[in-house]
Amino acid sequence: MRDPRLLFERYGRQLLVDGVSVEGQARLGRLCAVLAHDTSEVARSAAHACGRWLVGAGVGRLVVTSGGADELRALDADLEVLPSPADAEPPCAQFWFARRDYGASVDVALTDEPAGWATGRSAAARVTTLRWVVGAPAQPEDAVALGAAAADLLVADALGLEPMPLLLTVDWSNPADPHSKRTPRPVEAVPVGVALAADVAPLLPRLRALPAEWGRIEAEVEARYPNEACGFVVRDTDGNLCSVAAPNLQDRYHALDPESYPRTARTAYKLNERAVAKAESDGAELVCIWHSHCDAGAYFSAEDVRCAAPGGVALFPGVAYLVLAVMGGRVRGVAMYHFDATSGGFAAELG
Amino acid sequence: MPITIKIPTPLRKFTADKDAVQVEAATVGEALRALDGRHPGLWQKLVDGDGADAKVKRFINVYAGEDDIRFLDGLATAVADGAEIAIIPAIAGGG
Repeated sequence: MRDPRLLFERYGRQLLVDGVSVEGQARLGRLCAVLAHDTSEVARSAAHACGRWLVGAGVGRLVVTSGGADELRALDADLEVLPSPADAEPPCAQFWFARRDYGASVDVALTDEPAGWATGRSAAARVTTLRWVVGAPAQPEDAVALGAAAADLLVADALGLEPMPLLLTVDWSNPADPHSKRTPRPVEAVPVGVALAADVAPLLPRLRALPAEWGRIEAEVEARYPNEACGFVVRDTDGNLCSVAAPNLQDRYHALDPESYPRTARTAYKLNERAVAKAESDGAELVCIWHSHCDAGAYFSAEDVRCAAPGGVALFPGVAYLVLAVMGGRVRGVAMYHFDATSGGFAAELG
Repeated sequence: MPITIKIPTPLRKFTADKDAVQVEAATVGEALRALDGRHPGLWQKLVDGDGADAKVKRFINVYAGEDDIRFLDGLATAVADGAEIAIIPAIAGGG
């Protein structure tokens, strides 16, 4: 918010809402929203609607990845319009789909540390991200409702009013509550009955606190670019974490059976499972499986989910999955995921 | 001498928690058929199809010795007496 006096003039009523308060409103004013979307009209409408609602709620800065943003210039927020997504350096490595064909899709993130967050290396930045894919039947006017709903969720999450849902499904038949089909992000991190091989949720900071292991992973994924790299982390019998790089066998499987393995190592990985079995037979405990996404964000893709939990059954339920985004040969973002039996999905730990 | 099939953790609920099952077979396909006979339903968990074009599901690897049977003769891969077949979940994905 450019003028602090507007805080009371504009948001006087909103400040009365439990949980917003003067501090919450001021916090929104310090946040930056980054909106990325593909070139479809539906996605553009959804993204810009989301931006308008975020600014309406008091978010102070917008970064958008598209042209045609004139309608956003009139808003009371600092606005930065990046060049064409296809040519631009990614504004945020946590999501980046511009060079991929995901259909009509939108990514939006709220962060309080845009500079550190843009490098993908800041563990301090508080980031809330939401991705949605706009269904084919949707029209631009539908997308506006979805953009507004997304803004609601982001603001609530940023203020700690309500955690961001793990999954968001839009019910177009119920415009009064289009995000009614949300799947809540579970509060209990580890459901009873699921034996975790390690405390996977806080694993990422612990791994990063091991410079040698972390450097080994980063060096490996950058060296393998533009192909995906993969490997795993084990805890040895002395309790030490140790990263092991493994060959990506995807091209070999693709050459053998392109029907079953349509992707090459450029966009997929297949780890040599025997290497994991050998480490385990030596007494080590598999803690984490890591791989890179090349010129794509650090997220758990649909393909990652299909392979890690075919039919909804996790193959390694107690193991964390680390994803590193490599843009132009450099690591620009990381995220870690683990299977959550309560939701049947993968919960994220961004960093 | 029987063939030993190593069962991965996610599939042990189908084998009464056994981590290995011993069967008599001359090929990997026969071994998996025998496994399914002992613990019904496992064939469908492991294999797509039922006839000559049947192949191991993409999310599963079946190793005969040190090799993925996809790079051998698939389900027709011969196994010697006393051999070990390992069923291992695939570790794969992609952005």
